[in-house]
Amino acid sequence: MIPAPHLDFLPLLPELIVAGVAVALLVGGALVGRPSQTVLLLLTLAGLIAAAAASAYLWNWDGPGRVLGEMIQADRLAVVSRMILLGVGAFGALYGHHYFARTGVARMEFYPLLLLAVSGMTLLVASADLIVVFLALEILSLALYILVALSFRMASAEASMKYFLLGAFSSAFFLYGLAMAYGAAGTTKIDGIALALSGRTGSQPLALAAVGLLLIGFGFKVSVVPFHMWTPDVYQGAPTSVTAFMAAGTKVAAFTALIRVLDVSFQPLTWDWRPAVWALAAASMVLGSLLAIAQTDLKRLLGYSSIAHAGFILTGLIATDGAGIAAVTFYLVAYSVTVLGAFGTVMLASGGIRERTSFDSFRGLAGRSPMLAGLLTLFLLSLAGIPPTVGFIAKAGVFGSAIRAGFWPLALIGVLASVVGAFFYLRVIVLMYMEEPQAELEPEGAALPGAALALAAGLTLVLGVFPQIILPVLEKAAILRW
Amino acid sequence: MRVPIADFLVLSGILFAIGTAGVLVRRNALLIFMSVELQLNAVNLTLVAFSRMRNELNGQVLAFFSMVVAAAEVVVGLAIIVSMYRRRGSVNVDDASVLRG
Amino acid sequence: MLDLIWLVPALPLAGAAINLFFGKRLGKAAGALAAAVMTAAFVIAVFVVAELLKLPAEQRAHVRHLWEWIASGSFRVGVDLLVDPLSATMILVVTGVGTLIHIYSIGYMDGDPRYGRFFSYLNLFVFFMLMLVLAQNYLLLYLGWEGVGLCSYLLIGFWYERASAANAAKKAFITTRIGDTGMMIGIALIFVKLGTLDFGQVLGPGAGRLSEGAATAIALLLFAGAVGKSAQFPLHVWLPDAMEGPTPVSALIHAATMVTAGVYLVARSHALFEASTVALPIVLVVGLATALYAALASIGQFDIKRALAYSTMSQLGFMFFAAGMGYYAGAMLLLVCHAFYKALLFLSAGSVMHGTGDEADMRNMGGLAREMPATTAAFTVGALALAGIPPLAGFFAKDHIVSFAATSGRDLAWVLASVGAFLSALYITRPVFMAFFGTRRAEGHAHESPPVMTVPLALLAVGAVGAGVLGLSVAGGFLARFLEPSVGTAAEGAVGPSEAVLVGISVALAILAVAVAWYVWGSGRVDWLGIPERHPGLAGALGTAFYINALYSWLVQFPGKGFGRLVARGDEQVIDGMVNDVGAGVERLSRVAPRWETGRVRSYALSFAVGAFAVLVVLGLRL
Repeated sequence: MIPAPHLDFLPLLPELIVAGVAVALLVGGALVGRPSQTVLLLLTLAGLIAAAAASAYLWNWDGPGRVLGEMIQADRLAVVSRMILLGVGAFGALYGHHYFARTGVARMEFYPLLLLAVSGMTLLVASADLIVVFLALEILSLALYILVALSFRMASAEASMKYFLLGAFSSAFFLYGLAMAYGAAGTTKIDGIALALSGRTGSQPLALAAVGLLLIGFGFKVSVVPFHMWTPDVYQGAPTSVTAFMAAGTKVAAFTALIRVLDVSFQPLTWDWRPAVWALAAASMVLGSLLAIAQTDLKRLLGYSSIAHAGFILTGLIATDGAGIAAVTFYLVAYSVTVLGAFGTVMLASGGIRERTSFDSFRGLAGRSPMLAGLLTLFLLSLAGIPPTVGFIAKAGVFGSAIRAGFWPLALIGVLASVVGAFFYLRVIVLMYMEEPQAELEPEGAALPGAALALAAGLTLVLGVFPQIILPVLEKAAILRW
Repeated sequence: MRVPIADFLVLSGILFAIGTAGVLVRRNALLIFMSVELQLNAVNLTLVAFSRMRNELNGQVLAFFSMVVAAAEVVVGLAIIVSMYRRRGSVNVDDASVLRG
Repeated sequence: MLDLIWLVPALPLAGAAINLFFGKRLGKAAGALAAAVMTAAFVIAVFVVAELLKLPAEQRAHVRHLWEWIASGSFRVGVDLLVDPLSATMILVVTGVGTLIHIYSIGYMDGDPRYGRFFSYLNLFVFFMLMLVLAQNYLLLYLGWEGVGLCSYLLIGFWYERASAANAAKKAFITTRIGDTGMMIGIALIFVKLGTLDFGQVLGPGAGRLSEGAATAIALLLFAGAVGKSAQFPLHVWLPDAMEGPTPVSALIHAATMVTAGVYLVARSHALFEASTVALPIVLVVGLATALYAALASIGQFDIKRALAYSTMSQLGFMFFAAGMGYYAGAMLLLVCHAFYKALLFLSAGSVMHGTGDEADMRNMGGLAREMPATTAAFTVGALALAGIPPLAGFFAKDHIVSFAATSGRDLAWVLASVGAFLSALYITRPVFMAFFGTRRAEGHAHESPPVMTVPLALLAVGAVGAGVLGLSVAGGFLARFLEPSVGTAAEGAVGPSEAVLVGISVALAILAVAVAWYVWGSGRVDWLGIPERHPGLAGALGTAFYINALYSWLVQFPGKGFGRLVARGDEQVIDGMVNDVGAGVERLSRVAPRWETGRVRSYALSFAVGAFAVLVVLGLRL
């Protein structure tokens, strides 16, 4: 008789729901033929909401901290990050509905792919084992490779190919890091690695190689210099609705997993990986901000901005205490809200599928559509970190953590990079408000994405003024149990 | 005959480096992709070697995981490369430079 | 009543929001609404300050905790409003002068296609300004600081159809940003050293715990922010250009309130400045240098608003000069008086432009007194107040500062300040004669502005005449005693000439300056219009007009041509050039990058591989 292992699927319920709905949509879509876009959207949103409910239930989970053979983490960090990601997914679905409704061809595979990507992201933040991290990264990446290609423009296919080839390349590095971790610790469990490494003294070449290679793999996903070069190309080439989703979602998911890897698994080696993270953060902030200045396409500009922001987030990660983790998660919320808003506005202002995203299309936008120009201004100010927007609180948080941990030169670099950043965000505002329109482009009004944008704008302001609404929650989530 | 663990690690390191070099020098998208596969298999060799060193099976299970993921990657990757080929009539990655700074 | 202080900033914020969203639908009502919320805010501010005055002096500091803004680990910042004599003075100025300027704008902006938007920005500005002065910690102050900068940017570029306006807005934002960055680093440094940003902590026990070096660094970094915001040398270049904005904006933001934020910051943080031995002397030197430099530049201007802009710069220099001597009450008295008479001058200038079809070149004016009597009277009162003619407000304010320099034994500073005072009187009476007296030098008909514009002028004139009662003597004035709990008393000096002698010299200088101005620009005996043609070498240079003036001529010729050019066109060429070069350099740097950003997968992979190698090497070093 073999004793049946006890399997507790409840902490995995959000992923099961999301992936289940995705499969159901794929199969159902194939059976029905040409399903209505609106029905698909509603089913997708229903799935995301159900998953969010399941996730919220797990906040007070009192079962074991890790389930399913210690593969899945059932802690509050997972709950919080999942909630963010499910929200990001809902935004992505709303944007996609608007974007693809105009293509003439029903893009029914968009919704299942989006849901699969979401399930990969949420699995990533709940991973308790490096192999699950790897699987989740692949699930979200494979779905994203296709999502990026979901437009008929040549640029879209090219972006997808670049993303795929480089993504596969980076996966190899990640997997090599996983193998090294296994060699160093004899396990790939996130906490098991820490336990195995903590007792040792002397040099640990395998462990150092492991943390380096994993850092490289994550660095690619979150677009950190020098693994960033795909970012502007892919952001520009992908359909804007997909760019919005992946810009926010990938950062939240990968950074949350990176928190676990650096602050738990390789916590015993903190003093060894800090210089590397320091250098990556500084390079990302500086280069991301400087390279953005020469851009003439808004989506590319936001791509470089995303690189700079990856650097800011890494700055917060360098302080490994609970407050630092809370600051990073707050930054992730802030970045998600802002970047979803920014890309959403860009989508509406650039003629959706036509993708007129060069600066010329935004000249004099304030005259044609004061609403969109105002929204974009707000989001750009938040990206620049100007009070009273949420971006300011987020930056103050991560720089504060870095300073507390004694890394004030890094914070100083961050402040200076933000100043350069303010310059190029300002340039876009100048274009919109202070130049004559050149393109004859009618900005679109759309109810659903419009409501989403209003929500994003509201959150950008409200969380900037009352960050205490979510900070206590994030602080509770920042206590990692291991 | 017992081969020391270090030899396996060196061999897999060399394979990984060859794969990396392949990605850097090849122009054909398919060949780049095959180079990535070589890297993945180098990692598999590492995993199995560590597994043997520790006398347990976990490492070999991990290798199977990676093979399955690699297979899934092939499916998506080939689809993307083929669609690129249909649109452009070439799988040379140096031709793909519509998007640039 | 003191707890209602939150209403003071909240009302303009509400006004801004309503006008932003419904401004178009409100039409003409937008301006009335904006002025109404300002009036309400002013009334509440008056009641709050009255309440404050009922308390015994040592208890006059009330903190209203609204909510916890950020509480993350040891980093705690509340949205706390501080009502103390210093902030009370500021809110009265901001809401009081602000209300009058709002009312004036109803007439001035009439017919503008973005009428509602204008009042929305203006209200928003007032909100941020009030947050700046009411903040009880440096982070909240910084919020206001950035906010007023943003509104200033939006309002300078309000008429963005004109390329010059858009460029001026950009220049203002970038230039002040340089100072702001220093200030932000200074605030971060306060947090690093003291672990808090709360005024009560930092300025109370905190300042004493700082080492000399840390205190100097913090004070100078904060001062960098003040230099940018208050347009002091060398970050002053944006202010003259900022006159591209509508005139009420120039009056409110670039004369009465925002530009004085730097003075407020120094007065508020005086404990930090005093903890360092070099910080205050630097403030003094920068202030005095700007006061003289800008006064000279003002004399060379033909655009009435640019002349006033240099004058503002010069007056702000006097305020920093006072603060640098530790005479904060004097700086604040000048701040209050200046708010009245400079707003009055700007609004009168706006009234002139309104009545003459947007004419700002004083060479095309002259003899406006007949057609615009009310405006003429208003401008003249403002000018005499600034010139320091007793018993108008400016006399007391400026005279105290100059006298303080003498009685505290700073003889050189006293001489230079006296020269500055003389120049101030000269440059401000010059436009009076040029624009309002003599004969009209251009075609066209001028008309007096409507009452909605002239009534605020009259009220401001009352302030410009009477604000001196706030400080009748150097250390014993009402304002000085009121401010004592916030900024302390300045050590009364006993050296130098007696106060009566100082006052005599001061008044004599002011009257002499007015006489000189009359002789050159008012008597008709000097053909000042023809000077540019007579001296083609300096043609186009703004300084040519006052070549006759003995003092100025000496200043220009003695140190040689280079200095003359610097004074006359310093901003446009020397400093602008520097700012532009820095900008261009950064841009060139970022253009290099696309060379390796080739769009090719393989070069991306190469960057990746090199980066991966570098990461592994960095980690390998830890072996």
